[in-house]
Amino acid sequence: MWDGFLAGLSAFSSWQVMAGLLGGVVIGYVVGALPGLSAGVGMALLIPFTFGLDPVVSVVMLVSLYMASEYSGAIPAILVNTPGEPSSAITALDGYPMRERGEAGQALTLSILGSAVGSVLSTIMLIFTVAWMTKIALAFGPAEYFALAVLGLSLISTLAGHSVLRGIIALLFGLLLTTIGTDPVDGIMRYVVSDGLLGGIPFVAALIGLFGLSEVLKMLETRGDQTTPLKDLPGLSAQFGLLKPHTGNVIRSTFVGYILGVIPGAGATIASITAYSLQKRLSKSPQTFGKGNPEGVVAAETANNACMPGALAPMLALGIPGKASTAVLVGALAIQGVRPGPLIFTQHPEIPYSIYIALLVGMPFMVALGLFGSRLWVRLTTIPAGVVTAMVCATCLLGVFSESNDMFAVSIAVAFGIVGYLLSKVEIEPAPIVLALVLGYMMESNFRRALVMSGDDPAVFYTSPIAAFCLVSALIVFVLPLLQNFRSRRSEGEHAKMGGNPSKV
Amino acid sequence: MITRLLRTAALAAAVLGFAGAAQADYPDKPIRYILHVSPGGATDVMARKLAIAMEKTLGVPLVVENKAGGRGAAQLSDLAAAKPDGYTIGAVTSTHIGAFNQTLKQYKIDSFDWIARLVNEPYLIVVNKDSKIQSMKDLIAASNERPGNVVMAGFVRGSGGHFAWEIMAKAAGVDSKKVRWVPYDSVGDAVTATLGGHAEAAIAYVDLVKTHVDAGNLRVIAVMADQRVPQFPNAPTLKELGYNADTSWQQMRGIIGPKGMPDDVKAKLADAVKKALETPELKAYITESSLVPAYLGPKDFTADAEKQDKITKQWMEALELTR
Repeated sequence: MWDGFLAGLSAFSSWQVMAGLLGGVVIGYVVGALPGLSAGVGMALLIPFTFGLDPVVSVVMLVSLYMASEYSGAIPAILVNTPGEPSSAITALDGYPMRERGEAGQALTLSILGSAVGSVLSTIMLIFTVAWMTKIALAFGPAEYFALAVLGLSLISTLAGHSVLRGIIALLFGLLLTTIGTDPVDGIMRYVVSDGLLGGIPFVAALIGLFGLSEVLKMLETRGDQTTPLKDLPGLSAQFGLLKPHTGNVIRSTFVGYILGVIPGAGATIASITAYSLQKRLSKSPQTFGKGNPEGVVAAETANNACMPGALAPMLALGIPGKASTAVLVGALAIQGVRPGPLIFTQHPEIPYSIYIALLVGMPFMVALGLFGSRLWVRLTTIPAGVVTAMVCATCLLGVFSESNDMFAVSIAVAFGIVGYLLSKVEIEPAPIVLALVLGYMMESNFRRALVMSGDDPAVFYTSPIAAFCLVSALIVFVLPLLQNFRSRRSEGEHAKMGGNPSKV
Repeated sequence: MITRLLRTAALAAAVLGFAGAAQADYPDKPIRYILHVSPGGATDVMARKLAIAMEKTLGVPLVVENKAGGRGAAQLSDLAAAKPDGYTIGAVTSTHIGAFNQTLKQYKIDSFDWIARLVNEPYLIVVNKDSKIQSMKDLIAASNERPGNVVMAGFVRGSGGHFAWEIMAKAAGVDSKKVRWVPYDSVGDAVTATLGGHAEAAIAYVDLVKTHVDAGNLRVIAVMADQRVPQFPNAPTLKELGYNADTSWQQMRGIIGPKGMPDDVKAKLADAVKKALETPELKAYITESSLVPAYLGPKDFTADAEKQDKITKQWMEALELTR
């Protein structure tokens, strides 16, 4: 292990590696902050430029891009309610209400500090547990993935804002949408009214529509010259102190993010949702979640950044790319003649170790940029809303197009923008729809795959310990908040009766 | 009269000469190279390397565009609508031919001009190192002893890998109905499932299993090729095992264009492909990625595509996948 670490460290004495690191962070900030341009796409765009580079320089640049863009997705999420990365949709739930209160600087500070701590702790866990984590990654077969997806969906009863019923409506609407596309087992086309839907509804387009474009429509209702007065940020050292009250939250969210990152296919969005829901359950003021509770921002951002080193575990040790961005990393290494997999630690130890070092060394730079930014780009909120709206609209449409090079995706985004706007009129939030879009396909395809494997014997779902555990947890996670809700309402009702004001019930 | 004839002849010569010159000038502007995959994957990387190498021969840039929407639909509709002047070409793989017969039935082999084949990838069967199945013989025995209990993982039904399995099963005398084909979203996912012991075997390619085979976690029990692959000198071919399967059924990559491209334009592109495949950069990449160089020019490639299409149709019918 130490040999590898030294090999990695010695690579960092070259200026090219440092330049790659810094360049990667800066590009990552831009890529992450632009909606539609996700970490994976940004890394892929950089690949042709890595053809002639040294393998270590190439991988350090791509990893630091990945790290920075996982964070910077939070910036537009907080400032204009448009997630730059899918996982920052959850950051927007509380980050944007904070910004509406003039606390954009605070929200940005918490998001960068939470991200930084989550990423560093998670990297340390990665260094020491990478070999064991491969067992977790491989333990998930179809039955387990199905159960995991159900567990994810059961978070709805916590995630839903003021109305669980509306949350469930949104979730079911989202699940219905995931039936569109080519059937995962038989290849039958379902509701494919246009060939563009053969692969299902384009996720990024739908996400940008639901958040960004529907927000644009909402802003049309307000006066164009409106600005938000900003609350002052404390000095630099006190700014660091903002994260202190959230220590427990940060540690829990890091853990959630890391473990969910390890499971191929689970990903940062699920990690954010899980950490957010967990924090809401444990919080002293769960009723303020979704209305600008800083705990929500910290949980979501810490988890999605902690997820990234987790995702590197199966990528490095097994060569399994769990998601688009790690798949690009595998591709970039393949160009250099390096195959991630069980032999990489003996054949090319400098690669994993330089990744670890990049994640640790790049962090102070990323934080500095983020804290500086928490003072700089918050000024966006002082620009008249009309101008911001136009900018957001243009960026969203451009982002959707650049993601797929296809006008069809743009029309999907516009359609979802209108749907999201109309749903907001009946107080249905977009977050449960996103949850369903992320998990619906995973749930269906693995449910059916598990049954094909077992010869239609449903026993697979309870004979596997992991699957059984996930399903029982799902039941508890789903029912418990509902019971508590019911109880608190009843006691409220009794209070009301005693107070002689039954109309309040 | 003579002057009129001369004038006509001169005009004809001018027209012909002009037309000839126009094509001799080809290419004189950038060529769009449309892919059906997102950036970053194996097909994308190979295409980008090819584009760089072809630029040297053609003298104009090849601009790679990723149109991954609708599982190939976005790429093909763009390509089909383009002018057949050689300034728009696209990537093609065996998966396209499968799609022509399943999801994108509006296209047929002759909806496009087939310019050149680049590489092939033979299919192979891998098993987990702890599986009771350690050879093709074991697999055949297991399928008879516990029918419906052996799980074969692979890409979607009707894919090249699925038919490869059917072809191998038929050659080896396995009743493929006794083995469960479990479709995954990608071949890589099927390999992961086998690595985790969720499936007993998978149909995959050399490149996807190489590191796991080298580490001893997976074992190749049969390769569907004429010769052993250099990466796995110990893995037998089907033929060596005594089974006669059509080894020309492989996963191919190539380039196509809109229908009706002039022959000399196609020839120029094919020639540039051929030269590109000979460059040290591409040669090294092909070896590194465990691909097999398999250049074919326009005429042979068209015939090859037609053959693959025919085999696809036969298997679709035999497996009752036609709807």
